[in-house]
Amino acid sequence: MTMTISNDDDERDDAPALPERDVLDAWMVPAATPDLTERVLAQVEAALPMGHVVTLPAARRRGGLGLAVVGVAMVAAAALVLGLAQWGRTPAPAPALPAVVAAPPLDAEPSPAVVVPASAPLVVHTMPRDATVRVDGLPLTGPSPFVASLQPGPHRLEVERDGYLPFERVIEGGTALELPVELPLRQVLLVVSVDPPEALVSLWEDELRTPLGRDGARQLLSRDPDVRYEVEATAPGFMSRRIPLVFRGGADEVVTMSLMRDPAAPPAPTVGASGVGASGLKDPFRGARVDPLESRASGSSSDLLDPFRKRSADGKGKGDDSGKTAVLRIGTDTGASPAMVYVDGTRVGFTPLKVKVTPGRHTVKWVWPDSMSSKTTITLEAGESEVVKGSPPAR
Amino acid sequence: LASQAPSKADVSVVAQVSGPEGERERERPELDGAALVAAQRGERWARRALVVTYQARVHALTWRLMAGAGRRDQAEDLVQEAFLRVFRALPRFSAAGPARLSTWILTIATRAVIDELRRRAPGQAVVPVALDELPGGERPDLHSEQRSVGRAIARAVASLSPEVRAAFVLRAYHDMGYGEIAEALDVGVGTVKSRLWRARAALQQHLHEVHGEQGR
Repeated sequence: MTMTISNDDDERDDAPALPERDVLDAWMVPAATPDLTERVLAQVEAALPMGHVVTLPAARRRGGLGLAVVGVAMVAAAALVLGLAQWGRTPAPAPALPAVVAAPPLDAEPSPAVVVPASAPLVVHTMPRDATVRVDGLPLTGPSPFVASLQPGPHRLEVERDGYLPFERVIEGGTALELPVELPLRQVLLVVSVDPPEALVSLWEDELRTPLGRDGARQLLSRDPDVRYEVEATAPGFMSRRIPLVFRGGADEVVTMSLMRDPAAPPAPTVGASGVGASGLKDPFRGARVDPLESRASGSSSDLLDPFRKRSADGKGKGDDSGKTAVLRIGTDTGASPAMVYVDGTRVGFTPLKVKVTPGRHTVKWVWPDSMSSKTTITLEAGESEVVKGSPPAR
Repeated sequence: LASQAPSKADVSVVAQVSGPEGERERERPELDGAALVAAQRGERWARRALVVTYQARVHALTWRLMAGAGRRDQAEDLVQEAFLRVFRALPRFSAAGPARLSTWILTIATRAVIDELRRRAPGQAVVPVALDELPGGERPDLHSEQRSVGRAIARAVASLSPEVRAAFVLRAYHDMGYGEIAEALDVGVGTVKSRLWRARAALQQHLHEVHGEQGR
């Protein structure tokens, strides 16, 4: 055996040193008797009976609930793996399961214990962490992770928070569950990229159709969980297409669509004319209500350069370009989703965009779909062009 | 004998045989935050999780402290007593505080042992280490040496007072810092250093005796 002696952190020069760990480990501890854990727990239970918990009866099954226990088996398997990782280091008998309890405040008055041997823990990790979590209508103490113990049987789990879509599921008690719940944002910025670019893009909310524009069209949606969303693209000479929207839960959803040529359609004209766009297709938006901020995506160079033209950002009246000799190029930092931009309090559109402004001091504000915002001020000289980028504040 | 001396690698392998007890204290897992909160509420599953997580450490501590006093047969009683104290005090433990839960539990266990040792007259002063408590295997030369070193450490620790022994065991086997040991033993850091000095000196003397015997 190596008898190397290492210096312990005693500052005295003459201090005897502590042997290395492999030497110290020669003084080994025998294994504890196998039932020590049970004896410890029995003594603790006898001295400190489980008293400060609230009993929750299992919920009655509701007919037509329509919320099958989807994924419970997967969650249970995940919980089992987690449990094995937790218990794996020290072989131990299966954990005794608690009575049905919710999470009362720590200073709650003790109530009589109700012991139901087959109940099991439920741990819910939510994002955002300050969500409201209820089991069978009873709120659990937060923030995440939320802990409760459930009797065998069905229980209704609800998670909700302002600005997010709610989550609801029926879970089975009696099995240890660890459940991550990430609530999707209610507001989503929809961006549609379509080929051919002159195709008309529409949003369907159940049977309500809203024209969005053309390639690059954007729409800020406030999602309703009970509404079916679809995007449709149509173009003369092409077969129209309508696809359901699948939301990933983030702040923006980008949809890419390609239309197939209609073999029965006549060949597209090649010469432009009044009311005919550069591609030779008649502009279906001409005369229709189109948000000028969206129209820049259809290639209108004047709108692209100056969304202020009809909005009077600097108080000089509609369409007054005189004096706007400076340019602001406004974007968002890498990784940040597109944001609605306000310049001097006037909404000018989604990033990225380019805005003509008068020389002087201007305030730029970015607002993201989840209501986060950031603001900056910038001073521009005549003829100057500046790039400003915003990013959401850290949560 | 020198040619038969095990390499460092051999010693490491033997150390692993000892299982979780041989792990560095600060590398060992702490109880999950949700389970801690549930244990503070008195939930039975979380209490079990806490005991399973820390029992080996508490048992190692109480066994070493009690074996050093010749009362190793009471080590498991002290484990029970320590956990009872832990659960009584658990609602007051703050995960946001300076102490890790493991350090806090070992502090309670140490005080339980010292209280016990102070309460009753010590019995056997020096405890021989039973051969069957040491690892077996296919290297009799190695294990013979291991046993010799183990006995030397046991003799050294048995020669110490309970307070000095506690400081040494917490430092050497549970990686506690001077400040943590001072907190656990309710003494100043200077006193801890002094006690550790005495423990190391005793240990060095006993290990050199083993080394001298092997060199002859």
